[in-house]
Amino acid sequence: MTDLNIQDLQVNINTGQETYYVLRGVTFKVPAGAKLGLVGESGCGKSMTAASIMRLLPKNATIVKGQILLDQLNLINLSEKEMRQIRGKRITLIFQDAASALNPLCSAVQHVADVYARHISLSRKESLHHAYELLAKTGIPKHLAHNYPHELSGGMSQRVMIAMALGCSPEILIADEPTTGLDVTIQTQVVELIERTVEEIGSSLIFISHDIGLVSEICDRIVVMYAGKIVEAGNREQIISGPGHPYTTALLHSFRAQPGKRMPFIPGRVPDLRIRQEGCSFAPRCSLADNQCWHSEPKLSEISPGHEVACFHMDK
Amino acid sequence: MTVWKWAKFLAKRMAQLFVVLIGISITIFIVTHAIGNPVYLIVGQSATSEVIQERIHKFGLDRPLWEQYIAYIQNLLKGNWGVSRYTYNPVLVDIQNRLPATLELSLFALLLSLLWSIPIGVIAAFKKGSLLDSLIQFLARLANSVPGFWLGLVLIFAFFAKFHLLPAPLGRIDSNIAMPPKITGLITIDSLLAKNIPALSSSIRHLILPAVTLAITVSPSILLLTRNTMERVLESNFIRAARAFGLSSLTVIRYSLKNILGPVLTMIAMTLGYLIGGSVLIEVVFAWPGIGFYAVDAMNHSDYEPIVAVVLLCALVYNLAYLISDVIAAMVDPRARL
Amino acid sequence: MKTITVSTEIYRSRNKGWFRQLCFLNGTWNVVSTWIVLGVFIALALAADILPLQNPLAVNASEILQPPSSNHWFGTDPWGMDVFSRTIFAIRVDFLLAVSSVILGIVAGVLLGAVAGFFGGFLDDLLTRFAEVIQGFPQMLFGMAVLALLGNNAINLIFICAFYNVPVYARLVRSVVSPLREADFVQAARVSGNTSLMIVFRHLIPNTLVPVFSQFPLSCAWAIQIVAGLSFIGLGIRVPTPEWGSMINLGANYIVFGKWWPSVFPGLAIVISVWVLNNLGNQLKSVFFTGI
Repeated sequence: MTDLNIQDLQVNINTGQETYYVLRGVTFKVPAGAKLGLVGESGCGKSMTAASIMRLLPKNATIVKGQILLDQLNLINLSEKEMRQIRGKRITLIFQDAASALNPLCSAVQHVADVYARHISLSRKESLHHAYELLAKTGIPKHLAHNYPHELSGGMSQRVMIAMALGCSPEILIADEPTTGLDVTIQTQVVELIERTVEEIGSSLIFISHDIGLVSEICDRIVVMYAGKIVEAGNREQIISGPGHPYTTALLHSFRAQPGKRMPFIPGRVPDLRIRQEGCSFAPRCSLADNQCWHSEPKLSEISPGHEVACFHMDK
Repeated sequence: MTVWKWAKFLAKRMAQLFVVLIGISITIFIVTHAIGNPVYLIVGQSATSEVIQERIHKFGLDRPLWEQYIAYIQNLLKGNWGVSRYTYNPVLVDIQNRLPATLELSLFALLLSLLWSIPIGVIAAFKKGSLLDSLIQFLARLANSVPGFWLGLVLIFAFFAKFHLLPAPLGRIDSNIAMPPKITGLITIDSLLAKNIPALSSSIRHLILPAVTLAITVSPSILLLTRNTMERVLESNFIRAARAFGLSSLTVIRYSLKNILGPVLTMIAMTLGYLIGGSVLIEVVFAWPGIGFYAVDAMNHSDYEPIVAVVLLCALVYNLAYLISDVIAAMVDPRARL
Repeated sequence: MKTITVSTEIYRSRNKGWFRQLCFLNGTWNVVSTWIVLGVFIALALAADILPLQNPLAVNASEILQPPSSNHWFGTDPWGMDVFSRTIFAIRVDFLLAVSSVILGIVAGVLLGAVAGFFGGFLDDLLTRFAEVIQGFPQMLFGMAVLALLGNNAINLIFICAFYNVPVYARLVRSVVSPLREADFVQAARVSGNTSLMIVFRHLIPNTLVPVFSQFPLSCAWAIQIVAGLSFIGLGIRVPTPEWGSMINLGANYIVFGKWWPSVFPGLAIVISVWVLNNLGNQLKSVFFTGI
């Protein structure tokens, strides 16, 4: 069982003309066997965090500072060759748009077999045999196993990816918005499948989503991100019943639309990541913002065991 | 894919090919009849009116157009593609004699261009954004702007006139060397098979310049296609996913090559189809006795049946190449089998 | 408030002028050099009459095949004519032929493509087959056959080049119009009483102008090559009219004797023209297809 420990991760993206400060000091822990949910709006840096852990950042991105500790191993310092031993074997990433993450020229079973054969050296024939089993476990029967990605629905493609992840038996499974774009009924099935898979392998889970409601159903620990920083981290009960950060509160409100009443929303826009402004990044959209918030940046501090908030006005 | 699916796919493509062939024959028929009476194709401009009338009747040119068209198609199918007033041979026989020369030139040009275009294209894609990549793209675009016939002349000037490295552009082999026995019709291959080294050396030396010229004119398309397809594949989500699942870089390279195979093979088939007819100007510059040179030579002697026949043949070959490239694409990429 | 003003500034700079956008997408050196060279060519073509050039049609038996000198910058050709002035005057001939044939092809192609794309079904299939037939012909050989059979003159040359452009633009326009068939604004136009033809002309064809415009230089580049190639064989433009292909032909027989200048210079002019036009087309495509 492995711990994942991310400390003060800072990542920049350089487009040649401008610099985007996508991650501005991300710190959180994923204890062994935990199910952690990473929540936030689009553009807050959740996928970047996942990409950083896997060291699959785009070419123009640089890790400026920080550590990603897999037990005692710092992933930032590893070479590409060493990273390849980690990817798939110890940490696996499930993509958002599963259909585009599959090779259009390979059938479902070929995908699973290739990944299985890579991590558990077997002959082609034997890996195929295991591949059929893995696909069956995720709900893809044998007669569909030979389908190509364009012949599979979004939900089925996601099952293929989960089968590939199953085959790896990783210590940590990162699911990057695995249900976005799928029908609600399929969403539930996929989420259940992920839960089952994680329990069967015995791995930790990082579930990335913008849907805090969905995350609260699966994960026992929730981390909230905004503008490249962690603004709140805590257990499910702590976050859901007693959120400390105004952003978390607003998020929870948005997902609890009351019948008959106007749908709540958070006013304002996601901040421009090219600017490093003074003070709290959420201040322009925060109803509690005061002079202190505009000029100094709140740090993550523990307000109760296991519950950290980065705000000067917590639990108001 | 099941046999039944393939049969349906092929039947559909064949039907399309058939329609296009009809269209080609109609177009050629219209062009040859557009000036009124194509009798001049057969008798030349300066025949007496009696001969003209006699020929008109003999060749059925006084019958209604659609009847003439039917007769024309029947003639084509029977193998009667006209007679050359210049060589006194049936045009098909002339074409048969000269086709191997064009094939030899086209095949070698294609092979040469593949030899450098595909590896360089792949390298450029892997090194995307680097100075090497920009240089490669610049050279490819420059080569695209160069007219083939002019390039041939420049190369002749450089390698023959100035530096005397290669022989004069006067045909496929030195006139004082005996030709090897004809097996394939390609002199270089035949010399190799007959272990005739002087003939082999001479024929290669004559083949280099026209083949290189032709290769340079077709390379840019292949190179840029390889590079752009490879670039798209390397940036695609599934290559990223393959890396995310820890597949070795060898596997990733294998995946990406597999994914560019379809478009590249298609391009190769189309290029070969194009080269058969597209080499005409190079053949003229190098006096290479292929079907293109034959058509132009005949035309310069006011003999028009050959050029019409060669146009028809090249159109047929091109469309056949198009069909084959579709089949290749379907074999490689399951999405193209619709 | 601080953040909002900073945001507006960035927003404003994102809306660069079209020239800056061009440079950003294609490289400043690329854009500037293309436009300057094109400008020079057009200026030379327009001003050729008033520039101090030698007479491009003056045959001079005593000065044949002179190498480049201060008198004749590009030397003289086998007829004694000055290669430099002929190269300049030929800009007019080649560009005019290319542009006129492409425009003719565009007009026909856009009409066919719009009709086929809008009505779909049988017309659409017919257009595809028609395009396949035309594009299946060996361009040089068929052009030669047509000119030989129908008459060796400039009009036929323009027609055959236009003919080859028709399927290109028909396909381009069809690919733009076809998906718009069920678009909302088309439905709206139909509901407000427009006839199909009016819809095609007033609403759909304007949408095709941008792709057509960015394809235009590429077709001109291609047309120059075809015109030069056909003239090289002796079809199309004939001596003494200055045209790069026929100039190359004139000098071709003498290149084996080391007299390179009558053929090399016109060829260089072709290379530069085609290069510049191709670049222009690619630049336009890069801008129009990402949106300004």
